[in-house]
Amino acid sequence: MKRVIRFDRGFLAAALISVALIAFGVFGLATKGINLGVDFQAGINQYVQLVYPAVDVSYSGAGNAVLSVSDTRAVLVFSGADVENRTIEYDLAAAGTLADLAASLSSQPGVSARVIDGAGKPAASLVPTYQGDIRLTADAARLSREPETEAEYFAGMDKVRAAASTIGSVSVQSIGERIRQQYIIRLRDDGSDSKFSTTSAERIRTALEAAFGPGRVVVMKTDFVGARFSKDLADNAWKLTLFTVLAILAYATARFKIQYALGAVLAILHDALIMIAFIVWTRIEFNTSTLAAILTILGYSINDTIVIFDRIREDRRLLPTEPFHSVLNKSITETLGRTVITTVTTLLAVLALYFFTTGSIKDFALALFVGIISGTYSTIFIATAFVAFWNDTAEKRKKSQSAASAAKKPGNAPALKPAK
Amino acid sequence: MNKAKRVLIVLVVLGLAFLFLMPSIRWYFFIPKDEKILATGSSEQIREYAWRMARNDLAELEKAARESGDQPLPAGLQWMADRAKKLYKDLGKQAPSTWTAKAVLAAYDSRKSAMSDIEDRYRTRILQLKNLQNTVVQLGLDLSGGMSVVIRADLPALEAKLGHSLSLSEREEAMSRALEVLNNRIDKFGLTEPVIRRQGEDGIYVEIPGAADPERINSIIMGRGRLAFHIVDDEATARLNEYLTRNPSGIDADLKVADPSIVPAGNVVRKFYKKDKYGLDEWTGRYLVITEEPGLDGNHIQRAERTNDPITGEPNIIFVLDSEGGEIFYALTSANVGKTLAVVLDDRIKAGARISEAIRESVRMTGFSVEESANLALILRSAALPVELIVESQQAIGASLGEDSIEEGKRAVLIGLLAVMAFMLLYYKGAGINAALAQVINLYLMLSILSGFNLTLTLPAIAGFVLTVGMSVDANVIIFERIKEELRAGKGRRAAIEAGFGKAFWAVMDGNITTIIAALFLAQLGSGPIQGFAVSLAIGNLSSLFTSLFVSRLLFDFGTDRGLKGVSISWRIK
Repeated sequence: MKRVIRFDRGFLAAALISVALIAFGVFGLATKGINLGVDFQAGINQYVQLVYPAVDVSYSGAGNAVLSVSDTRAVLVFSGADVENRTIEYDLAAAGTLADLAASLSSQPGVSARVIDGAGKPAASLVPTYQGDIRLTADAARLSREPETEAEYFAGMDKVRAAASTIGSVSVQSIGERIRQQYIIRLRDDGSDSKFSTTSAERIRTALEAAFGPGRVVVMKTDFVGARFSKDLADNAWKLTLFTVLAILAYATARFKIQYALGAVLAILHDALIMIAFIVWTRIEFNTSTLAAILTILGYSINDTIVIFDRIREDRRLLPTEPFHSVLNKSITETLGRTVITTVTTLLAVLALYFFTTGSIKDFALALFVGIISGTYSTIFIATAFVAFWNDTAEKRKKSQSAASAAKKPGNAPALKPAK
Repeated sequence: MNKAKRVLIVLVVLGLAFLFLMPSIRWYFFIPKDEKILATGSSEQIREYAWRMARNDLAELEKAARESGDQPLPAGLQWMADRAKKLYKDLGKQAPSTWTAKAVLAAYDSRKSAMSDIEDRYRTRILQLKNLQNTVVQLGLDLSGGMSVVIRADLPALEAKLGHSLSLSEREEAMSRALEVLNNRIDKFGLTEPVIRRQGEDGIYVEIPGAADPERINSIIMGRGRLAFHIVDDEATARLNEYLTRNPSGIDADLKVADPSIVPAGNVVRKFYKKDKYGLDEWTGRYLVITEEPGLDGNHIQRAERTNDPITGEPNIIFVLDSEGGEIFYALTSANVGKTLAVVLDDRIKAGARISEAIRESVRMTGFSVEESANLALILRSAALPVELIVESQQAIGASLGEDSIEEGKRAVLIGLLAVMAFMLLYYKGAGINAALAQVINLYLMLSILSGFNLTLTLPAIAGFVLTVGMSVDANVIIFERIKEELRAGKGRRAAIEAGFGKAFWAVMDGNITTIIAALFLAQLGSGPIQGFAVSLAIGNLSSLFTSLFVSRLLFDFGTDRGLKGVSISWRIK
């Protein structure tokens, strides 16, 4: 038989550490506030890239000609009734220079591609068609390219901020490699401008173009969330978290005793608060993804807790005479292997997410990482500790009650109370 | 349950999953891109495509028939021989031995029926593709690229304009007017059909796959619906129809006619629409030539309603103009008695009515069915009571970013899966194979459920998959640890496996059910992305119950029956 680890010795210290961590988080929340993402705070997030104009493409033939450029490929698709339907793909890395690519595009009937700038630059320097596939028409569509060398670099946080500041108080963040000149520009919607939702994207672009020149700005992505939408989401988030907790409480009460259910819920609340403390202090953006991470951990942590509770219940049945604390220690020890392995495999998956994704999913994975560790820890040191505490209190009360009832019996002097 | 039955169940589940997956595999890996563009178009764009193809084919066929009597069928039209054979048979005629263009044409009683036959064929093919697309895993906008917009109808502003609060039916009508105006512009969004649907009491959700240009899309969405009355040039319309019969591709997508002499200066070609049975616009296949400048702008309409004629009981539409509009309308109608007046909303002709006499403010239109007149009254009122639209939220993401996300997601799933599998193999040795196989089946089942129920795959959903890969091993771990304990207690293979699965059952169930509860609540939250994540989490948990309790048990039992004595499950226990 394995040696039983005396987990109950750590209960008090763990409780103190947890309280301290949560208090630290609450303190941070009160003083620094949480970094609310666009989902929860009305405004616009515009992702832009500063570029050079490269190739103009137009189409004068029949049917539809649709051009799309990604990081690695350019795809030209002809469809419709009056044109031979076909798909032509170019591997940008193998396509040579921009001039070469333009020449092979132009070899398609009806298509005309004209290099405006950087004819000798590689085709792979083209910026993807972020705003969707381009349906080519007689009016030329513009393809852009990124700077290739440091000498071509013309942006910089300060310049972008100065340019965007002309439309109001904005915050600017640089994303991706420096040379690619990609930025997020965030503008709050304070509700004073009724046309904000429809005009702000254009205003940001125009302000940047005024500073860097026409054709130098490409919009990669736009997120706008209005005041009512963000408020609805916040309200929903609260309600859902509450309902989730209540539903779990109800299920756990039905399957176990109330003290177990309360212990489990206390543990998941603990995890949520630890994650919020982490989010507050790392300044990770609090958005729907991070919220999803918290709710996921509620599910993960409860799973973890229930497995241990299940074992405690079983061991109690097997060893009815054993003191409760030693049953706890035994059950936790027995399930420790499973706890560690499940934590490791889940962390492996989360690490895969963290290292192989970008943007909000990366933050999501980071929040999950913290949550999983907290969830494993809280199962042992919060949920079971609470059950132990409940049992101790109940036993003490029973004892003092039996002592009190014993005291009422005539002839029993209080001096005979058993000494500790 | 005996083993044969259990194997059968597993095979049936795997087979069913494959059936679910098939359409998605076909759509994403075997349909060429140019066909996809056609299939994702709106039903009108598909109609237009079929119409043009049919005209081109028929022209080719007729040309072949004219040139010589025994010209063989043009390549690509061979299928028509089979059709013609059937038609000959139906008519009781003797079928010719070789199918020439002439013989095929002779099978049809009119040019029109030949045309509609060809048109049907094209339309059916594309519509089948479109149906296929509706039964596959949908890619969320974050993966396919595109834009989603939540719009709110500004009903308080409408109330302020009307001077009284809106009744429930008035609110409903205001919303259907706003939807009507949006649906009317469906083709302006691009080559892919947008999704436009009502959301809640006063919201409209618009999703435009492929396009991610908020400035352009906003101008389409926010532009007021423009209603106007135009006079139809009946002579030019007849000329145009005759010309198009001869030159099927004589008109382009922007409704410009190749021969400029057909449409007189100051006139334009517009398409004529009717509502189909779903209440969506359907092009009737007709073109009308109308004046470029409207005879009367719709903003002169003060109110419009549908009534029944007190004597005949026929549905009528009555609309009332302001006095300035009345003057304009009087001048217009008196100059054009006997001609057709077209009701045009955003460049689409919605109705035509003959002008029988000069009319002032109060206009009565007759000769429509009950439904038509209700629709028309709604359209006329949309000019009288325009609903302002406010953008509530907007997400736009380019297709290329979506492709990057797909790559990232694939890699994360693959690496996550491999890492977990490697760990399980190292830690649990032989039993690890069990767990690894269960993970692969798990992922396969998750994908097939996504496909079978046409759920949407988003980046958060992929994240849910990765997480599920890690979390769902848990069920295996609980069981394996139990089996190890039983082995340590001295039990043999069969007994240890039996007891391990039995004792772990409720722990596995409890743990998974609570997680599924959390996931289902999560699925209620806000917009698409989290829903995708939550749904994939719930599906993953469900399928991991199946793989861990059922499939993995079966694998163990197979080993036992092969005569294995010990369990290869740990480095320490032999």
